[in-house]
Amino acid sequence: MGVILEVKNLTKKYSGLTAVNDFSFEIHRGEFVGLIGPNGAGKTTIFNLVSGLEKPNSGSIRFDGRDITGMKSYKVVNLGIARTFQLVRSFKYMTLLDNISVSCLSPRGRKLAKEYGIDESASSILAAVGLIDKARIPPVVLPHGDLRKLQIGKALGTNPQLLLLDEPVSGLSHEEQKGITDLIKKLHDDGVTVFMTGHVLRELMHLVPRVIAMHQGKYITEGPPEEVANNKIVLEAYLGKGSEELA
Amino acid sequence: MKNLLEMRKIYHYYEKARALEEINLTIEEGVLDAVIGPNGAGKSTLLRVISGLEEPDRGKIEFLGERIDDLKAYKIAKKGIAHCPERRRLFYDMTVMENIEMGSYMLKDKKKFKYLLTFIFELFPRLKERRKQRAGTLSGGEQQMLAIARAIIANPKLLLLDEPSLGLAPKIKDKIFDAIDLIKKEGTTTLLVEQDAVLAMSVGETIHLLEEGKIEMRGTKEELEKEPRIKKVYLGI
Repeated sequence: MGVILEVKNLTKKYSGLTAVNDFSFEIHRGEFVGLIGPNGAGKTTIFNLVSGLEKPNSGSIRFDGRDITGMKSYKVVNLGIARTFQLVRSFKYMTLLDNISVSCLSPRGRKLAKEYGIDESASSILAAVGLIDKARIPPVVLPHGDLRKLQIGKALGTNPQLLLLDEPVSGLSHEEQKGITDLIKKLHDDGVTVFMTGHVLRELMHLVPRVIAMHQGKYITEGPPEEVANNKIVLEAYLGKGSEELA
Repeated sequence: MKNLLEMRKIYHYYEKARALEEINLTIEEGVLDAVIGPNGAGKSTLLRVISGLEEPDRGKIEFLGERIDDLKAYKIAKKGIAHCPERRRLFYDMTVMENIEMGSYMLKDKKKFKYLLTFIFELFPRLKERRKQRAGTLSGGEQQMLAIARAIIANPKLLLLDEPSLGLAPKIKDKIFDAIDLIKKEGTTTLLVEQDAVLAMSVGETIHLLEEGKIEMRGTKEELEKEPRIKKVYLGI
C-alpha cells in the first residue's frame, strides 16, 4: 500500500536543544504504527510538527503526496490528519454531543455529515467511542478514561485519514486502558491509519505490528516490537548505558 | 543493623488510578538502596508518600519506630528526612549559597553547618566557585548538584533522591553518581529513585524493581543482573 506520510530529515531546535534531529520515517496507508522513546525523546514534538502546531527548522513532511511542511494546523486537519493530546482538553460545559459536533463542523466533517446531518454524525461517533449513553452530559463530570475517548471522538469528527494519538492510555487504570486500546484497534480495523506514542510500553508493544524508536531527538531503529525491544541502542535509551550486560 | 524506615502495605491512588499497591519496604541504617522502574511505575510517588507530600491511602510508615504516614511534610522533614525532588525545584532567583542556606533552615548547630558545607564544596567544587551566582543561571548538572547540596545540608538521617540523572549528559551523570557514592560512604542513609537502571544498580545495595505501582522483585545487583524481567518491565515485551 502507498505511503501516506513521509517525513524526511526533520529537525526542530529550541534555543540550544535539538528536540528532533534529522529524523526520517514513512507510514503506509492503513498501517498501525507506534512511536516509542523514553521521556523527553521528542515524540510529542514529532506530532506537533506533523500536525502543524510547530514549524520545523529544516526537513520536509509529505502527506498523501502533498508537501505540508510548515502548514498551519487547521489546513493540515482539512487534508485529513487529526490528533489527540497528552493532556485532555474539552469544551468543559458543553455536552459530549456538542463537543463532537464542533469538530463535525470542519470541512471534512461536514462532508461526512452531509447525508444525515451533524447531530446524527456526531451521535454515531459517540456510539463508536462508547459514550453514546452520556451524550447529554458535559465532560466536567466524566472520569479520565471517558475523557480520553472523547478526545479520540473529537479527532474522528474531522473524518481523518491519519490519526495521531499522543499517549492515549497514560494515567489510566487497567480497565480504562483496555477500553481505549480496544477502541483504537477497532478504528484501525475500520481503515484509519493510526500512529501513536507511548512511554509506557506494556500496552503499546503488544498492540502495534511496527514501532519506530527514538531517543534524544534521533531516529534509532524500527521494526516489529520484539526486534526493536532487543536493539542495543533502544535498551540503552531505556535502561542506561551498559544495559547489554543485563540478562 | 537498625531499621530506619519501614513501609507496610502502602497503597496510594490518584483519583481512581492506582499509583502504589501493597508496598513493603524496609531501609536499614547506613545503606544506599535504589528503586528502579520505567516511567509511570510509581517511583516518585513512593518518595512523595515517604516525605509526606502525599498521604498514603492505606498502610503504615514508621521512621525510627515512630509512625509518620499521617504527618505533614514539614514535620517529617523535621524528623530528619530530606527529599531531593525530581527536576530539582530550586529557588531559581536565589544564589547558590542562599539555596544551600534554605536547606539548612532547621539546622541549629553552626559547627555542623560548617562541616557539611565543607563536605558539599569538596563534593561539588563547582558550587563553591559559583556560590554567588543565581541558581537559574546554572547548567543542568550544576543545578542537580545544588539540589543534592540543599538536601544534605539539612543533615538528614534519610536522604531521598528522585531521578538525579534526569536530562543529564553521560559524563555529568557519572559525576553525580560518584558524589552519591561518597555521600553514602560518609554515612547518610539514602533511598535513590532512578530510571537509569544500570546506573542505579551500580551504586545501590538492595535494588527494588517497581512496575505499575508494585514491587516486582528486589535483590542485589548480582541477583538482578541475571533477571530478564527487568528488560520486560522497561520495554513491555
